[in-house]
Amino acid sequence: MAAITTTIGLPVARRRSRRAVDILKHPTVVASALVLATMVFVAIAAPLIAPYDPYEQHLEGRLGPPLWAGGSLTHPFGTDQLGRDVLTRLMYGARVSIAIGVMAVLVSGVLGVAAGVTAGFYGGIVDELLMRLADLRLALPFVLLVISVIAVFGPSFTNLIVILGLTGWVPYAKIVRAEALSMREREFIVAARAVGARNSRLMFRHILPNTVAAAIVIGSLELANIIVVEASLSFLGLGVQAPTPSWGNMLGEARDYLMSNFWLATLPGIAISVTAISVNLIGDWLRDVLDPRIQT
Amino acid sequence: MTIFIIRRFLLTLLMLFLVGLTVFMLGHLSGDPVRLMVPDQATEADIERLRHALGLDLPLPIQFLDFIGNAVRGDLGTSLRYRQPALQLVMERMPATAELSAAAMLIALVVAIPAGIISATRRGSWIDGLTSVVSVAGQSLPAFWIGIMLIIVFAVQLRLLPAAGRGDPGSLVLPALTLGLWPMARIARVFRSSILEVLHEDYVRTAYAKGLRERVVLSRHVLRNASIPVVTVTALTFGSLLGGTIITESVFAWPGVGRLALEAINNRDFPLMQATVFVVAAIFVVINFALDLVYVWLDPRIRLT
Amino acid sequence: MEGLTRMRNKIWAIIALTVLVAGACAAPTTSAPATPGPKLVTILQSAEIKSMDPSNAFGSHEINVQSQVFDTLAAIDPQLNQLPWLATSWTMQTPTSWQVKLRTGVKFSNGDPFTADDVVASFNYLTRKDALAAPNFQGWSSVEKVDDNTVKVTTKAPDIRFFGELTSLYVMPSKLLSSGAASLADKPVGTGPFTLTEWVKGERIVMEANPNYWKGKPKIDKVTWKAVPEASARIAALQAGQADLIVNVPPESVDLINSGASTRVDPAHSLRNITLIFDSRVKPFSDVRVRQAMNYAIDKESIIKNVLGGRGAVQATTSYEKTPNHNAEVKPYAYDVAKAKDLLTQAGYPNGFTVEFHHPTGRWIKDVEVTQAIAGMLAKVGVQTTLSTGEYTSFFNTWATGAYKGMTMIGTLNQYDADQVYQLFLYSKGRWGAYVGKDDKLDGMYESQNTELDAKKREQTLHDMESYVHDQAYWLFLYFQDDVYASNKKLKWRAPSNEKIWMLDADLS
Repeated sequence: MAAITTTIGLPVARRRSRRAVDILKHPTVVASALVLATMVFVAIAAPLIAPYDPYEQHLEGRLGPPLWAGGSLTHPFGTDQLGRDVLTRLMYGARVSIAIGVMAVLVSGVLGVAAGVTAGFYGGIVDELLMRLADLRLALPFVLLVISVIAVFGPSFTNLIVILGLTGWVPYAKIVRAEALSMREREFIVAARAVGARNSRLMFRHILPNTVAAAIVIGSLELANIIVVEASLSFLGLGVQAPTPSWGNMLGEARDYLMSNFWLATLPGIAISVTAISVNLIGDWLRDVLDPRIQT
Repeated sequence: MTIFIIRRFLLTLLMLFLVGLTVFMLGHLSGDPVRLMVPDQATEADIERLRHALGLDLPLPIQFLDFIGNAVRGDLGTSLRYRQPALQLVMERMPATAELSAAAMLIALVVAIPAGIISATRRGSWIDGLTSVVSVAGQSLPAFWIGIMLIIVFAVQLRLLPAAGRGDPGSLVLPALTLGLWPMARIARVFRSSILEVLHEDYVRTAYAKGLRERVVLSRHVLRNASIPVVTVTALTFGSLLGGTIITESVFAWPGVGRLALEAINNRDFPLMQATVFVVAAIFVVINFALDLVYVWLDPRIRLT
Repeated sequence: MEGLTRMRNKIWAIIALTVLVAGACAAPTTSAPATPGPKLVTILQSAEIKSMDPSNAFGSHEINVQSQVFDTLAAIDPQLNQLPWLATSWTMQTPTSWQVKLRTGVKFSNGDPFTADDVVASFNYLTRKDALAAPNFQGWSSVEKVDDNTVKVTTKAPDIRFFGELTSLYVMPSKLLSSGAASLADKPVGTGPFTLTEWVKGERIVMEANPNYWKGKPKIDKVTWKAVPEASARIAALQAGQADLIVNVPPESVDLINSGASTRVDPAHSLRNITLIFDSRVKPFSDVRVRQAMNYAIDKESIIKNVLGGRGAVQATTSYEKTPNHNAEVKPYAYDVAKAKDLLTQAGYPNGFTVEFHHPTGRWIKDVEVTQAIAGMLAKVGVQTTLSTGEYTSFFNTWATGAYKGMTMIGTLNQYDADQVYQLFLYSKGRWGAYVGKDDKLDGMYESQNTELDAKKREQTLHDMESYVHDQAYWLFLYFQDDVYASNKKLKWRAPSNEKIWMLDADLS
């Protein structure tokens, strides 16, 4: 499930499509941006806009149907197996799922960019070491690795972020390294070196900013991946622990009700899918705009 | 070319060693293995005796060398739960996983290769649109959700296919479809974009300028060069599929390595957990090596580097 | 055109490579199609079978499969009747020695006759040091052969649980045990109603009726066991006719299955007692008022009605109504929030407190939801809980070391006698008795009934213990769950109360 990147066989020419830059010509991207903005707004504002407390139970009113299946406006998305309001939990779930995704992406992005810039800039033994480490990480089956580590350290919000963050650095490192490698030979770097600029200064002032675009593209695509991975881990009982709502564990908890209460699994499934699709589409568009060479 | 292969081979050995190290450390992070092995009425003296008997009281570096030495001889320890050699248990399950992964990959390639070619050469057509929708969806939908939906539709509603298990004819279809969707999406995307890249190369433009027919240009110049990234992605995806079968196998009760791994993790059966991670990672490393050989075959230029 | 062909060849080469790589690690799988016999039954359990060796049975799903192949000396049927089995009678000769008469004319599936030698060898094998079954025979010290059809059992102390040990003694052939017991794990040889004929690891276990079974050949010709962990996949398979009997049906699916043309739900009251065990050694649960308050704070009826679909019985004390020596006088704690708050105030916790709450995931019916419902109810009296969960094996192993603080959800199965749970959970020197702390009165009562041979007196002591533990509230008493199976309407069988599926007298119409 790891995003595998390769730079083999890629032509070096860089092109930017004017068409791609004009976002309004891409209705799917506009729609995705709107969906994502809504999700983020809901996540941030959940305590203000959610109709109920996400932990408030009403055992007598459990498994209430959603509006379109005979329910009422009091619980438009119905109630779950403990009589909690599904709409409320989806809103709070957005918080957890998106927070895990964003924070894990930040952790792996920072690590990956640092590793990539270092490897690309210094080359030689440092590069060799870091790239072997990347190969090692890619050789270890991602889901199996994450599950084993979580099984050892126990599932929690923080552990999930740390583990997903630590294991996700490779795609950034590879792309950024390639970028830094080509950058190293560019005139302005050679010139800066000639006038005696220090290595650290060169890395921070010149190379790093130029690799940000690549990192953002990877990050946006990885975000989608991590939201899906979080859901899968929760399905296996290794995600965020109950009663905290996350889309993944709402879906996991709904497993027993698939045959009888279909929507309980469908709603968080749609939330995950719609978010991941939006993020992916935006990521694709960003790539077209920023750097079409990046393959993910 | 020989040097290239030797270098790659040595790197592969190094990787296997590093995989061993990681797996070893993973096993030792998981708490005190001895306490998990003994019945709960065991005394401290019993525990110490067992620790000594298993060599778990030796310094870690020595334990690691033992572990590597044993691994080379094909001994990855004994499962705590099954009380059988861990490697044997993993290999018993390997055929089921290989069958599932191969079927998934076959489905993925059969769909993705034509889809990639058509959507790249006929940009903006309905096939291109469909391909991009399916490939974004394929990367965005959680596999277990797809699996469960497929069960509900094909096994419960239509009663066309078995809901779970292995052995009945047709039981491979739903899990392979579930597992194959993700590589299908990836391969179609990568193939499409690498064809597009190649189409802009000078030699392709030249070929068109020479007045060669599209078909000839495509087959002689474009597909050959565009297929390298596809081979890479296919092989690497296949390698990670072996690890990614955990979820599919647990939804469909498919008796493969993934389910064994999950079970080992849940039971804190650390030798078995080590063995599954090690075997899957080793297969991945070996596939990578094979891939390097394929590059040499596909693109003679690599031999020079 | 030529180029296109070459390109095609390359694509095929890529595909072939993929398949080859797969093939390289794949041994050929032989799946011989089963010859259709007249009466075939497929049973789906939720967990996989590791071993057919009864000395290493792990959980009722394994015992279910093993006990089709192996017989025990005595048996408890699905209605909890206690029956002589391979032993026809047992009589106490001195307080610590028993004479057990064995059934004659019984043969193992390999043709060997069943004799006293097999019982002696099986006992020794089941109680060897690393056998998981060893703790089942804590009361026995030895089994000796008297003659071919008689054995003498010596017990460590007067053993009032003698019957329980008889039901745990799976009989294996002595010749096999002495020559290569390891083969039992894969190729079991027993005297049971079925004989294992095919085992594709992880996939299916197939067994055929034993034509020479001493109770007569079973009516079902062939039983296939499979493991399907997902409840919805099991139900789907039952509905689609791919299975005849499935376990662990979620309460919400009951109506769906009952409304099916060919499917039916088979519930059974279970002896499985779901309870929360307090860590009474330290505050806050070292105070009996706090423990009682917790019992008053939980609406057991509502949990049973709403979460368990009405399938369960509120628990008053430690044993089930059908368990021998159960005290029926003890009544469950009522749901009384005011009283709970009052008791907490008296104990010095007017604003409640925060405790750890440990529970397994997916072990007992709706365990996760019940836990959350309890947490919600406790919050109403000011008690906040920090939930911590784990897969059952690691969860239970950690709990067994005495490491869990706060309270822990545990399910006990109490089928032979009311004292069984005391021996394991409430006697301070018992296997997992540490959580009670030290209660000399309870220990004293336990020890006195343990060697009491007068049945009336012993019953009285056990009744006293049950009401004492109720008053002391060492547990948060919850409920006995119902086990819900579902089957094809054509299958005639009896849903068991002790989680043991009997196929020997099942039939298909």
